[in-house]
Amino acid sequence: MILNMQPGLIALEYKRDIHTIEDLKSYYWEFFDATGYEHHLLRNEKVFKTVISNGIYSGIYAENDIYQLELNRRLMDMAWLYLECLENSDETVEPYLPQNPYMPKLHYQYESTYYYEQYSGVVRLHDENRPDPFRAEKDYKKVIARFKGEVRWLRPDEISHPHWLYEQLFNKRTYPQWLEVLDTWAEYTLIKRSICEKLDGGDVYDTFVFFQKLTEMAHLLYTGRCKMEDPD
Amino acid sequence: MTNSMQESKSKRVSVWLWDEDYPHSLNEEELRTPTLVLRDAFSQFSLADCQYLLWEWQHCHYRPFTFTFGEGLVTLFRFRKMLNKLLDVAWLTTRDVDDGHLFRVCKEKTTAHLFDHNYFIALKKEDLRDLRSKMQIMLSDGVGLQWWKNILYHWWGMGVDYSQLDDGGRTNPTDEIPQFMQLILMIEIQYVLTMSLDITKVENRFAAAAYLSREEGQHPFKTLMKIFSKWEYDMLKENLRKVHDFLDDGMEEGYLSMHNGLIHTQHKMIALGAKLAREDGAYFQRADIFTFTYEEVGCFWEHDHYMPFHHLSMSEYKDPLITLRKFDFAELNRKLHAYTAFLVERNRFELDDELLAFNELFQQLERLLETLYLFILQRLRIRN
Repeated sequence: MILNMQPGLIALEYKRDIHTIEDLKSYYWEFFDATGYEHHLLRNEKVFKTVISNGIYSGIYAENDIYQLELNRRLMDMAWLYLECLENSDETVEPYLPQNPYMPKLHYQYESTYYYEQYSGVVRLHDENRPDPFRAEKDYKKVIARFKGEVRWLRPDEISHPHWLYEQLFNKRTYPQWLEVLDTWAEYTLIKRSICEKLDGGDVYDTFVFFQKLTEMAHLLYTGRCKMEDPD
Repeated sequence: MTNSMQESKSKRVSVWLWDEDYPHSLNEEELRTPTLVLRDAFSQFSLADCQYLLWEWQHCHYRPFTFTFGEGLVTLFRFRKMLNKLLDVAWLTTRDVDDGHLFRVCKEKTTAHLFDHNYFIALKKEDLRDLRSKMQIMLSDGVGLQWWKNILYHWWGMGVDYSQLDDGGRTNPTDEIPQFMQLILMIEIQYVLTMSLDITKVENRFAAAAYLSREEGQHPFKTLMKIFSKWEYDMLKENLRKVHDFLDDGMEEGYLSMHNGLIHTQHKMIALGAKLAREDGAYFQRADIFTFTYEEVGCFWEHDHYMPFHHLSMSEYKDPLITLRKFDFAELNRKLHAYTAFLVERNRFELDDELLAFNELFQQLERLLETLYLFILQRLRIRN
């Protein structure tokens, strides 16, 4: 029975009846009561630095980094509850479609008989959906301009659809798998070796980016600026 | 792809870990075959390691950064992780009918020999008849799986987090001794289960015995001498009396380190005595073990010290080694555990028999103290 279900393992201290997304407000409040927004972002960087390098930067306060990870765990809990609320509500939401932005969209006019590609009739489609190599940069500038540097990691489409970010989180790993990752991180905050001996460095960086994005999202949701209309 | 689509279609379920039991320390593979956890756990930690780490942790968890065994905090972190997994397995095995086979494999006849080679703190030979119900009682003793995990979480926080330190007003660590006994019981039951699965036992990595670290076990005489030079004979007798006086005074709150510290040292002395008593004659012929420079000896004896020996007869006085070999050390340790557990369950009705048994325990402890002291005095050589 346990193996068949996909559980969200919520470790928030006070169990409350959550029916709508509005009910989550108190958890967001508690989160920013426990830690400041900017402080949390900076501390995440410190934890990331600690686990990925050969040093320990928390000094004698070994527990601090583990506490920081527990705070991030709270953000994951809230993400899960957010999705659960959406699922239970009658609202229709835009589903998130996982796309690979790096996949080249090429149109083959006919089978090439040439060894070198440049002699075949391959055409790159000039349509709106074509991945723009400068998109990330443009997105970044857009977000920076809009939030005056307060938000750095989120993309504009994630800001307008918070559940997209949250779904990406749990598409990447199930909840028990995330717990395992957090556990490994916690272990390496205590060891003077790099976490890269156990996990892929890129993956560790992605996890760090998730932490930052989750924090920013929580901040936007908490201050109620998330679905703000794009001023442009 | 289809798999992930199905997964995303299945409805989300929230488990609130502070309120509901869920084996969240196990990954999917371990959920399917809990024996993997048992194998893994007891290939990393031997039984004595587990006993020692848990015992040290329980008695020191309010003193951060005193975890000197292994790699320090990391060892403790890993141990706690392993304990969480073992708790999950215990919960699964007592709950799921499918995994009842673990208990069926484990027969009284095939596992009784474990008692000849291992020291068990909480598990008794009679318990082998029905390990399952014993485990069930242990788990339901609290409010369930999550309750036990919270205890470990709390101990961890108490030991590691500087901000958790308090003067004893907020928590009383002595309350946790019965919980320690229950956790030890769980570990010991699972050790018996694991050994019945044809798994060879591993060597101790952290512990020499259930109450001694590896370093202490390697130099029992030196360690003993250190204890006597730290407190001196009179002081140790005084400490022993204090432990006995807990019977009348109870364990006051507010002295976090005192109660556990006193009992902790008593356990260590019993274990050191046991270690020495097991050595053969050749060991006592080795001069290097008993020879120290004057600086190393410290001060544990002055000429004007008054040394009463209440419990030793003349023959025992003359040969403390033989006296030492007569003690039942395992029983002494167990009785001391029982005594501490008794102290914190103050609401229990006190039986005269029990009190008398404790008096006997203290007579034995005092006798041991005297024997060890004499033993050191007789053997110690000072290098010029």
